[in-house]
Amino acid sequence: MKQNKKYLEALVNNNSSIVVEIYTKFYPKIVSFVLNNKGRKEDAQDVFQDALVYLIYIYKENATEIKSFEAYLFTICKNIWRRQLKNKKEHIVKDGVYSIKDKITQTSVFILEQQREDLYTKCFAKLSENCRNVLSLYFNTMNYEDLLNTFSYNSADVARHRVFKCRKRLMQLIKQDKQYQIIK
Amino acid sequence: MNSNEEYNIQDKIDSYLNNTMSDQEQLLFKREMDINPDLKEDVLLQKSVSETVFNHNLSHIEEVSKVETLENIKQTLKTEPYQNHIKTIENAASVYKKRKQKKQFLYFGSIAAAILIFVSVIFFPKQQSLETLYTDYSNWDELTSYVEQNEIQNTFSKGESLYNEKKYRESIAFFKNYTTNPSDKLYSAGLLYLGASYFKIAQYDNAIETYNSLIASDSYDSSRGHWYKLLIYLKLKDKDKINTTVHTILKDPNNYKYSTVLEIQNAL
Repeated sequence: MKQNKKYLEALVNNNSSIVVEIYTKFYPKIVSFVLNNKGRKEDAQDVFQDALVYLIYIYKENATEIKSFEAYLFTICKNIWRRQLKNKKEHIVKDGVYSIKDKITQTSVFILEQQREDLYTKCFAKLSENCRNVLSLYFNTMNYEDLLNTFSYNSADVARHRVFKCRKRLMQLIKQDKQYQIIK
Repeated sequence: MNSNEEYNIQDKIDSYLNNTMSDQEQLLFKREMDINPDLKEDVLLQKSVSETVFNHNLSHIEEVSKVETLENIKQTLKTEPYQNHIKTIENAASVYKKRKQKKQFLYFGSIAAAILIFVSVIFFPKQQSLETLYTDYSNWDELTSYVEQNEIQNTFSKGESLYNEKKYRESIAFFKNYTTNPSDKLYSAGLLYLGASYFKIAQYDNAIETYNSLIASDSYDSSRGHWYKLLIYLKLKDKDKINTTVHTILKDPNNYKYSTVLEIQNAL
């Protein structure tokens, strides 16, 4: 059995010894990532646990295919930690204190957001290279003038038209995906 | 709906999302959304995509549809099978911790023996050579794999394969594509691999320049740039630059490989 499948099956079937193996093999890397990015060991523990729950969820509920267990696990952990840092920052700005939601709500919010990110990124990758570049630049600068210069369009209207078309295509691709109805 | 109408609606959505509507316009637009569920769905989807794919902060807009979807996920996580999964994960974490503590105990036991050896050689101190330090600490083969489950990352994996197969000139041409746009999700990953590829073919100036771009980025990986520059200076035995880079890394304990660099500083 391939390693990817072995670890996912172990998580879904509660195979304790292989789940310990997952910790031994991958957890130290996550600890070092979190420690290197303004976190503590306890944060790394939460991040890793949430990431494993997420993998179980998408494997069971969406039958998602994962090509590299290690790389995907690492990305999920990075995303969880990025969101937690962002949330802390926003809560501190808004309320002066960081309010902690209950654990199950936190995990559910993450699962929903990560499912959306996976879907949007998948659909974005299906766009033509030109559309990907146009949208990336437009959303970076929110300015049609920059598009004019970079892509040598004749007028701002042409640039606006291109952004409109590409964005429409992206939204269509997302809406057509069966996953969209579940997570919208 | 004709194209002009579509354009007008898109303009309104943009103004709403970018918070450039007047209070009156906003009120009218919200009413329009209340009676037109399709419009509301479009607005929420565009908000979500802007935040997720393009990292925009649109938290000023409330997202009502999320509640129901979120509740479904919460209920699933509360079911017995999921509670069992969570228990298995927690137990594994605790077994892992205990095993690690046991290892640490053995490790500290062996420290006593090491101290004896240390005392015996302390009167004959020998500074580690820069070459030994480089050999001991270089980790060029431990670059993270960014290959995941979707197509963007699958494309990136081609570059990783080129690097792993030691086809460095080809990997340089490949990773350059990821290093033109700082908002690209794989920008920092591209710089890491590009710098390492340059290093492997001894184009040290290009490697340093690449890591300077990484340091200047606002990515989580930015401090890794200092680490790889340090490895290059160790390789080149450039003492001044080694000292400057060590000093830079040790300014912030959150920097990548902070504790390793402390060891290196002591060994220098």
